Amino acid sequence: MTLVGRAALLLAFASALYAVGAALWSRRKGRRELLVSAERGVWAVFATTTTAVVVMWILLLSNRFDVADVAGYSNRTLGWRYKITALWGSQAGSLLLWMWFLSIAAVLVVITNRTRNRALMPVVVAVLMGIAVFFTSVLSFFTSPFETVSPVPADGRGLNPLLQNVYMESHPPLLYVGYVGLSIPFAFAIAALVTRRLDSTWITSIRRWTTLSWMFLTVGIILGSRWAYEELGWGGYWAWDPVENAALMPWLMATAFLHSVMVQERRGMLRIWNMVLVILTFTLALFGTFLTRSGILSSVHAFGESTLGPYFLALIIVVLAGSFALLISRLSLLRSENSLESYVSREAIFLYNNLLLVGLAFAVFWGTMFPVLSEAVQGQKITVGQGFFNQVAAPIGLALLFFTGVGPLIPWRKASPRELRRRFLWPLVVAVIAVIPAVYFAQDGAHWWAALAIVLAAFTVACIVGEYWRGATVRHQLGGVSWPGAVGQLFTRNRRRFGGYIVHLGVVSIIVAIACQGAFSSQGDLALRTGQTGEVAGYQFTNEGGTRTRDDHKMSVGVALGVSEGGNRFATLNPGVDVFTAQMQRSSEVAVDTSPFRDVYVVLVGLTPDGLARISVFINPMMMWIWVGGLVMVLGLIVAVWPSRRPREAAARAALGADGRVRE
Amino acid sequence: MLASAGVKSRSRFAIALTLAVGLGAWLIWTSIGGSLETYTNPSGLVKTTDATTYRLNGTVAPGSPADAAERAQTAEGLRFTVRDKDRPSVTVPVAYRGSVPDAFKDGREIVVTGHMENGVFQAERGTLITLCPSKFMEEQAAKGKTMPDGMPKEPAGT
Repeated sequence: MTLVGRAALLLAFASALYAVGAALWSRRKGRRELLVSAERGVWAVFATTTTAVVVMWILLLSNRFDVADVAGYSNRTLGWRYKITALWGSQAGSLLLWMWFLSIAAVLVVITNRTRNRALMPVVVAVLMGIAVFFTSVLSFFTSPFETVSPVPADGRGLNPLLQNVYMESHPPLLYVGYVGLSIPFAFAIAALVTRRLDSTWITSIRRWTTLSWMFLTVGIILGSRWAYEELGWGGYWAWDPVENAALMPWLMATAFLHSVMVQERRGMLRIWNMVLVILTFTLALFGTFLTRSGILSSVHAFGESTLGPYFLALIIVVLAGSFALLISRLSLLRSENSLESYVSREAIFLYNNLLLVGLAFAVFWGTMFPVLSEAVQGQKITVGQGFFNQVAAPIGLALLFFTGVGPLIPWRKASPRELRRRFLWPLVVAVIAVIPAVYFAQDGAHWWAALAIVLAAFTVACIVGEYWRGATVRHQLGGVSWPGAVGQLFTRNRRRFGGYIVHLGVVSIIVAIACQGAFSSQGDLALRTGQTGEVAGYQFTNEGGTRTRDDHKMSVGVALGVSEGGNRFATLNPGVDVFTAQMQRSSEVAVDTSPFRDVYVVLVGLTPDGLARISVFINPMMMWIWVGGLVMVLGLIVAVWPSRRPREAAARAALGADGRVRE
Repeated sequence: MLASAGVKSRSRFAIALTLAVGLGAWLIWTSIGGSLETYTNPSGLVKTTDATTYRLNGTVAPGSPADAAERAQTAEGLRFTVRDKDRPSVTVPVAYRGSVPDAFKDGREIVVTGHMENGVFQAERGTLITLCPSKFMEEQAAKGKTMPDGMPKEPAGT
């Protein structure tokens, strides 16, 4: 069985190598037909990688403990679902998963471009398969998921209990889909540079890929924070850990790219800048993998030091040097078609938004890499505390929030002062009204920035609602469409724009939640015997008795806590601690009572045999709106990428005066 | 991007951009100043006499209390010893209060922020971090442990 897996990976390596060669050769005169052969090579890579993944799953499910990664990350008592997810518990397995996603993405690119972009495809295939060559060679020659051990252990070590939950089942694959997806804009960018076809075609062909990858990255990051919040039991969700930063940096770059692309499509500007963003986004995605796999930085979840660091570093250097050399050689072809006419125009706002996002990514990079840099320069490893990241991210985040509101209301090219006054009147009124509750919340003045976030959020929401209002009014009055029909038309006729605004609403929700949690959360520890009551931040907690259970998998203790506020009992929380017997590993089971305005978050620290429960309580205001905001963002993205009706059909419907309701 | 700069005068755009970058650099510079902590290990700490704040990295020496999480909430706090990763003979006692990660146990690599006071590393509240390998193999192999066949003993206090 392991032989089948190894053979499949070797074949994948060979096929990828062949596809690179055939694709590049097909660019020679009279060798066109080789491209089809190269594309068959892509299918072969997909088929062989899939075989390897299936083999790995069979090994995991059939408890083949002679395989190192099965023995290391699974055991007999592990449920079948976690046996499936144990695939990406190991280093080799997670690289295999990445490679599998890459092969799927490459096949999708081949399928969707059978008749389009034929001139770009040879280079696109070569780049994607070049990345595949790297991953399959690492998987074949340096860290094989099919390594065997002897003597064969009687049982496996089991999967880290921290990873045994739904968030860890979904978070790594989602992030990987996002990372892999970002390699496709990169491949198209390189193809456009190589073939000198630098018009906007390559950008429109990958628009949906970029948006979807960005969506997966977003969901991956949010589920990761949700995991940290529910599993790690420290009451927070984000700690600027190197691994978190590794996922955030490509996300920030991709966000900048998603916005600046519109400037290129509309005005033919920022063409070099977009190339730089695509290249840096992909490099940062690789860099993220390098950070987590190299052990260069200590992290809460440094995945065990490995020897893969140098290989990834080499790949990153090759990608960076190659791409930028290519870019420089094509600079003369990337002249801007237009120039910036005013500092108050849509394109200018996009430019500010880009500078802020890239600036933040740079600051995060700087802060993350500071220990490595200081050690190289001074010989002393100096780390940067969370305070640095918060201090930099807060003002940049607020400025971004401001531009989120302002941007869509400012016309392209140049804005007339009269038009601006008309459009911003109501949002400004709303913002001024919002100052009152904001000042009330920030009584002591120390939380002025949280108050500012609330005011800016109100302003931004008003701007977005105004956009819908204006759009719908025009359609209602000029098109004679009913009100609901007019709003529906906004989504069907201009999906990207109005879907994008929904994404913005999600972002506003998340920023407000982050600001409120950061400013107004409170924490307290209690030691309660059975029947005793203690208080934290106005909430009373009563110990109503502990429980102890054990099965062949784990030992558990728990405590029932009655929670009340001002004599009104509103919840019973049951925090607990599991100790997994296979590894003698503790795992806290936090209990959370969620309401729109706050989370009551309780961790059981310990329970003595005589019934003394020690608990940690966190009151986190507005926490729910981080997750709600994430959901809203996904919704908006689905609206934005949903395929539009075919132009002909849409035109026919418009001619018939159809009602324009959303039918999908 | 500079190629797109055609607003009235190119120099004005350059000035605006320089200002923006300057402002960003200033923000990074001032923010970084207040949050720098030097990484150190027990060997590095032995020499220090001042009260500089350090991030101490090492492994938990054998003999740490099984009810570490609970002790860290008491008034006396949690006392444990951190051992140098490279020179196991060098250790530093640590006094800590606040939340203790689940992964905390003998032999686990940790990072904690604090300063030296009378030969004891006084940790700041809630700064204890465990570096959590998703892999169990090396650490178990290192201890020469075989897989437990019977049930391990219930740790005191949980």
